[in-house]
Amino acid sequence: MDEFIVSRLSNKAGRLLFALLITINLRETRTVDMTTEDLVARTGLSRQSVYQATDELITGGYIARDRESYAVLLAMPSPAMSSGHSPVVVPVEDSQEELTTEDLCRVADEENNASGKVEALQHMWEDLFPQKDYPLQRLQTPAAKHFLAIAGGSALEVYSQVTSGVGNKKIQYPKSYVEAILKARAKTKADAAQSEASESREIEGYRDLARWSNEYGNNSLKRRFETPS
Amino acid sequence: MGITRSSDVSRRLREEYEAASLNPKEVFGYANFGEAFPALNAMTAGIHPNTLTILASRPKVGKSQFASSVPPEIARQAVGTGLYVKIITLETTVKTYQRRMAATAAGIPNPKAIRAGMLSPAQRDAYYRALDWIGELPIEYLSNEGDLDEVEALLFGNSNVTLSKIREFLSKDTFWWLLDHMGLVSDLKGGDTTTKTLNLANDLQRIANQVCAGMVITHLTRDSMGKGVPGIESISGSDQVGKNADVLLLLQRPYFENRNLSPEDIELVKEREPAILVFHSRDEGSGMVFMIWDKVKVGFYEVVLPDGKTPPFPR
Repeated sequence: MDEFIVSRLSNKAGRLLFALLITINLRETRTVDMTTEDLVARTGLSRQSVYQATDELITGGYIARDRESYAVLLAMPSPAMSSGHSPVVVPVEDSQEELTTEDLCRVADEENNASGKVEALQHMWEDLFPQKDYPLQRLQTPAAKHFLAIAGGSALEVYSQVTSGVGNKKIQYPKSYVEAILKARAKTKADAAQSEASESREIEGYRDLARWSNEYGNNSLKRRFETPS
Repeated sequence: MGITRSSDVSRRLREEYEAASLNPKEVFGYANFGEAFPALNAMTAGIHPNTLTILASRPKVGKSQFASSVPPEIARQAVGTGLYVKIITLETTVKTYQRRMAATAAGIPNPKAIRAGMLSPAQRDAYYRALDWIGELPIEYLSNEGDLDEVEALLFGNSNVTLSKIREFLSKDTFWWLLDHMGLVSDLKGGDTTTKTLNLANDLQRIANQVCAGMVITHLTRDSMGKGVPGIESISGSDQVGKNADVLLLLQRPYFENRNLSPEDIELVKEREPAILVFHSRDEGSGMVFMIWDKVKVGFYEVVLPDGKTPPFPR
């Protein structure tokens, strides 16, 4: 394996590649059926990390996507291949190409995966504020965590609030802008919750009066020309 | 406005007491709100000369419905004086207003049944008696040209009745007056809505103080919902309106105004809801009147409690 190329892989992509190579070596078969869950189990990565690592391996030319079967083919030379075996086939039935950023956020929330949430928000950031337009304003992990904290820990909440709040215009300070959006929505939600809570508390104070209304309501004074009902 | 010596004031106060002592009574105002509201009369001591009363509630609570029961009762007390109860109705036409007053007096639950011609014979008789009664009372109207819908009624200044028309209408032969509602008076002076409201509040106070006592209906803000018993600060547009009032009546229906009722609460107020009329006065203190909103009869009724019972008002 080319040492230079391997050094450019992320830790997660490296773990996935390593898992694939071990599978090839162990099974020495023409085809290996591995679901996303298998890869999650073998790599210890989250589902969306597997998707992202798969994507990275495809982009890096380590594996190739079979678009007909939505599978990933190991493209790089390997001991298994050099000994005459066909490439390993890794089914990726939930391929990342079909997953939107919103899906990534939802999955991260469902799995309560802290790093997955950060990665999903970084995806969102790339969609909204691409590097070519905002070269110096990438979303770092602390900022993503800060956003999550404002939105009650939900990546999907951050995603829905930010995407609905950010328009098409160029924003000079996207992090401040997004923070302002999240804080404003959080305040609105908190106010609504407080109002709801105070209404619920308030009505408790009126229950006796409501009972008295029923008990003594028939004693109310009749209108001047009211006929008996 | 002028310079007055304390000796003159003392003399007038002695005369006032001498006159009152000839006919001592707890409800000592020159008029009262009618026999249907004994607790309100007792608390306010009636309607006093040259006082401005503000009646306010949150939107749709039924302040106009409540107010419509008052003018005929006050007009009844004006009979023989040569004076009139004057109603400035800006949200509805005179026909709509008088129909509502007659329906309230007759205890008709659904005023739409009147226009639909679907009253029971007993209701029809009660309605006709109420119309005859109101027709003989000294009541005059200054009105808008047409009925406004709910949205139109919330648009500031959305009527063809100006303050100068109101001033002229009230300038003579007025026993008591009602303005329903102040947000619809048109052609006001001042820049923004708050300034216009403030100026109007001052003008209405001047009319009440210099010409005749009257009542003005206005809104409480939606923001005030869910924040307990309403206060002066809850009055829409400008709290100046509340400060100008000699008497402030704030109508509250806590169950109607609450958006988070449990199924048990909904069941509890299935037929009737508690309503509170909060009263603040410069001279007569403050208090609360226990009323019900009867969902079958569709109206506010003051509840008469057995002797010694005090309503469990929230603190």
